[in-house]
Amino acid sequence: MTFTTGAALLEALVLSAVNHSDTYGYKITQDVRSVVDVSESTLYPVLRRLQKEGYLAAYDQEFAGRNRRYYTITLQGQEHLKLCREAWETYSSKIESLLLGGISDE
Amino acid sequence: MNKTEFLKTLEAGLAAASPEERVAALQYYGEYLDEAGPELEQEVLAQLGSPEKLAAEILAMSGTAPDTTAAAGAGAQTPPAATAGPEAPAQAPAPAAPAGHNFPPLPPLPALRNQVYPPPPGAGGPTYPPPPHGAGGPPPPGAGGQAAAPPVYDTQRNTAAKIVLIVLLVLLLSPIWGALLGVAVALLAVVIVLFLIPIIVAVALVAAGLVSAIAGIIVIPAATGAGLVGLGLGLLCVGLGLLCGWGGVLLLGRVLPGMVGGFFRGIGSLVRKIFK
Repeated sequence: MTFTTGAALLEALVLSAVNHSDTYGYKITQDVRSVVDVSESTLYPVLRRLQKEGYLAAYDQEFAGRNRRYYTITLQGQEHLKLCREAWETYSSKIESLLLGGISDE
Repeated sequence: MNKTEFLKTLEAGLAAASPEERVAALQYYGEYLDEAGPELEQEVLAQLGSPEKLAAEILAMSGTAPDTTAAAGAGAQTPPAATAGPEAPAQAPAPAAPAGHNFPPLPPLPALRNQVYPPPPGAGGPTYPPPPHGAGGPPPPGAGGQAAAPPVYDTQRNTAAKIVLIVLLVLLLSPIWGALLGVAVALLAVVIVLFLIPIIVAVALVAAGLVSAIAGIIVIPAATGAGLVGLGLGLLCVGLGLLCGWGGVLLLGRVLPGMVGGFFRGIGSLVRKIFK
């Protein structure tokens, strides 16, 4: 079985991938798809939204005789990623406490 | 379909988008297919799905309301942004996921409602359904008489007997039963002791009277008066003691068996009542 990946989590995953190092669309898609089950076409809208929100910036660089658009995380994006990670900590620990341990919050 | 055809269809689908949006999308997907390389091109194209659908997703995401022709061409508009409305002729059976995450496609609204509020199975309303006969809560032991409804007499008596059996078992097995028995035995012991008191008193009186009388007889030669008084008192005591003893025995013989008998008769009648 698979758990669905919501928009917020996808955005956080893409931000995280770009935060690791500047990277391009195809690579981001492969990285995210290695972790969660999303279709190839899912990530372009996510990337676009992150750009519009000012979390990601793009620049072009030549590679093997053609252009490659690289994405880089902005300061704003780093702050947002921090919030995302905190939210994830809370969320995942709650899920785990119930899913893996029963309700053990005494 | 090859890369060029794909991009062309995508561009046509993005006619309603801003030029900036259109260029960005075309550049992205052109580059994307270049990265995949000619070997993977077909596989990636298959994965990307129809360019019309892709265009519709991009339009929905970019906030550009697609014109109806674009929506109809795309075949699948996301429900919230659906300018085409539910009566759109080209509504595809499987709508594209909004903003591209893989939620399973939502069932049509009426189906969802049915899921959330399933009609109560069988039971017509909020009232208690009439209990299937016999399966009702166990009535108190005396209520076995309710079994007298003529049409279903046998089954009801059967269930009544079962209920009595269950109640009996509960009574026998309950710890309260033991406690009650203990209390009863203690009461009986107290009663017996109470009835023994006159006999003990009688024995004591007789013994004291005998001692006094014998002592009086012994003392008579030395002190005739005191000896005679002692003898008299002693005999009186013996008499009283014998009287008391007789009374006690009478009491013990008559009343106690009645009481003990009554006690057991009481238990017996209780048991009989339960078994009735």
